[in-house]
Amino acid sequence: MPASSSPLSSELLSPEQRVEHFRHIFATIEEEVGQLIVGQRSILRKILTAFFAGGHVLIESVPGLGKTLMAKSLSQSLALSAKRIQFTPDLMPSDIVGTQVLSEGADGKRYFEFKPGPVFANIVLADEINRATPKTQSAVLEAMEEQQVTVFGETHTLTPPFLVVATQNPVEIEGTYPLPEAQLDRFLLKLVIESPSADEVAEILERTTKETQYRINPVLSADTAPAVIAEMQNLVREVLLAPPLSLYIARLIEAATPGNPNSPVPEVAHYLRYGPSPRGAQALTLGAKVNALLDGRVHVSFEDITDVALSALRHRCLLNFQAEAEGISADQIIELLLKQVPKK
Amino acid sequence: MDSLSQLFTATARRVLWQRSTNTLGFFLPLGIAVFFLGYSLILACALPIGFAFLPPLVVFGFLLKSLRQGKKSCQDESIARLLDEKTTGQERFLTLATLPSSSDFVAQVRSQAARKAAFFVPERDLPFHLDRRVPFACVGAVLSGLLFLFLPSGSAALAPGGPSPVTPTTETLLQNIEDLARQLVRAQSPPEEQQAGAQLLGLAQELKNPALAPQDKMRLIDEAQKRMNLPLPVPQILPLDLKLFGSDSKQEDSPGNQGDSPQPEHTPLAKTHENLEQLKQSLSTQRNEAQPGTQNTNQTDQSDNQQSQQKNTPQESGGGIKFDQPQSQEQKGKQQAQQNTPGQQQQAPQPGQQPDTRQPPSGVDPHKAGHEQHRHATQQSNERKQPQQAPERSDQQPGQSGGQGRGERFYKPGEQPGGFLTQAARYVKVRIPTGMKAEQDSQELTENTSPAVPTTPYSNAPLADRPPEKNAPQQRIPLEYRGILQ
Repeated sequence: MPASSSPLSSELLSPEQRVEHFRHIFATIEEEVGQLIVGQRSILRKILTAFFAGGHVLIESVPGLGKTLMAKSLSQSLALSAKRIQFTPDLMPSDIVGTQVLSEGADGKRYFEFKPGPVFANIVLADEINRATPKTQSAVLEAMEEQQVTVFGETHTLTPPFLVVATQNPVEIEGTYPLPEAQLDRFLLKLVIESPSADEVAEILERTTKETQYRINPVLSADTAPAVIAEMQNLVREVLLAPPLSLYIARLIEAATPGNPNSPVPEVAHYLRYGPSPRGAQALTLGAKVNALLDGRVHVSFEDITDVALSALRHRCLLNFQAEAEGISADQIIELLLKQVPKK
Repeated sequence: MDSLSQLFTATARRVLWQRSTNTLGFFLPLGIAVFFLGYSLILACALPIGFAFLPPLVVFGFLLKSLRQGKKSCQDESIARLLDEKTTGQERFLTLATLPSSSDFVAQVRSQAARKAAFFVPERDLPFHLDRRVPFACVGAVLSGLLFLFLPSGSAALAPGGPSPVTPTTETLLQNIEDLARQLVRAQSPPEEQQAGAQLLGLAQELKNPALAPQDKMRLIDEAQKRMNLPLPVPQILPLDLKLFGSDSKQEDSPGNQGDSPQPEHTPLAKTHENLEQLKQSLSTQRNEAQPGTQNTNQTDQSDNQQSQQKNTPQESGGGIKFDQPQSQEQKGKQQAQQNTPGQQQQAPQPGQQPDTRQPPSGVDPHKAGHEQHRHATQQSNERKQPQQAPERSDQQPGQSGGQGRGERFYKPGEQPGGFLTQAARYVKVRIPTGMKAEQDSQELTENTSPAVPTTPYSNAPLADRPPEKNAPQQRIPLEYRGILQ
């Protein structure tokens, strides 16, 4: 049975009740998916954060860590449709967005009919997205940003909610097409899944190699899920952000720009090729707002920003050759930024 | 006004008080320390006393600036940050302070903040912490005050009469006089010096008698000075005078004259006179201390002292040179006794007054004046010479002490030689001409310079565009090849 099927009406409920409802649904989803996925609670929380913030997630991990399972479990718990696309070098854009096929009607007449691709789902798992050609990758761009696709001059709107969970393998380089900066910027968060510990592996074996399989119970009903999720996404945007905090976010972005001579972090100029765009500031803000709601607050704190900064900025800070030669990661630069950019 | 506004106000008031206290606690001792240090420095460098207040004024300016910054830092946003920090408010107070209170969300934040603020009492949760700089500033002020007190100039400045020179004691002066007298009675000394030395020895023995009153001692000193006919204080030449007379001294430092004339202030008789004067002053002070009600009788002595102090005050006359003259009656008497001594100068010229025709020539070397004075001390009252006109400078041989002397070139046109007196002069004030107009307007002549006239002829005519080539072709170049060759 769904835990909650009624939408969060802003007219009927007080802000405090809305926040509590939000936290309840969020915690229930975490609980449900967490029963199937061993560990990786922070990854699951970040995926949900991006989902309720209206963004998309790029997950970087080696194969076999449960990315696909996590996406499927999430869709099941939310009672949403989910599709999986395995990106390969010969994958064509039409394989993603769909194409026109010749159909024959009942009267015997033939006509072209649009056959939607796998992108027409609420949750799309783009597996190993860096294996497809840039042409195919760019086919996902419009879907991610505009939540619509255009086929043969005809625009088709995707059904909200829409979440793209893309994965890429950091180990294999040959035969891959690294995502261009423009496409990277469209992901709200980039998550890095670490290998599980020995205890977690034992727990995975316990859950997956036995006769009884665990089934995900949907948290939301299929009828009301889109409305509830839309209301939750609206609530996120209503969270208060004080001007000093938005100024802090702006200072973070400014300090991460390599061309800025007044950056308090000199390492930025040494190791970064490009810094985050204003879209990075939007990602920071939305992620911080979800964190505030999860903490039961309707206002953002510095802690919320710090908590989401790594996943929101790491794929927007492009390292130069010097940094790669010295083994400097984007996370190190961002941590320096968080330490040295003043909050006042 | 709700509870949150009251909390903001109370917190801001407490923070402002704390910061102001710390600011005052730092800058006030700092100002005191700077004042003492600056005052000591000013005393040491003999600068005007007004400079002592300059550093404290600067510190006062910094104090005002710091107080103003402290007031600015107590605005709502800063107080909200402080409250968030103290109550773990997670930017609730900051959000309330910076966002307009219109939506339901702000109301919820306000209620959450009010719950947090219920446990916050500014007086208890914001204890006063003394700034670390304050003890250092206080210690610095105390140290600078102690330094000021223990410095001689500082302690003297704190005295009621202001800074006073260190005066030797009566015993020291007597001992000095005795030593000088023994030097005078040596066999190598001239007979008149030996006689003076013997008199001084006797005087020293009499002055050592403790039964004698200070008045009696002073009378004995006066009598001894009259008996010995001691010379007046020798002029003290300042660096300015040395510069002025530098050219003359170069001429006079000929090999035959080197070491001929010792410095006047180093002669035993001159030293004896100085010591006797100091001894008289000391005795006068003792007499004043012993008889506080007899101020009227001491007026003459005090006036003598004042007059003797006036020797150090330079007098200026327009465009010329003027030496300060001792004004005491005794010295005036001595001057009159020395008026007719050849090669010496006795009296300063009064403005508008012709110098005494009986005065000796004015070209006496002031450095040698004292030496010649004490050499001819006994002959001063007997010998009289006709005054000499200042001879032309070209007639004087280098190294001569008599005749035309130093400073002669400062005479006004038609001035008599006797008008230039160096006897008993302490300072010489010279007004250097400010600059003469040269013939050319673009150049200015100073005292010892001459206009530099360029001797090398020059021309600013432009050079030819193309200097003639050495290997210029004699044959005309065909037109088609000219461009290539050029």
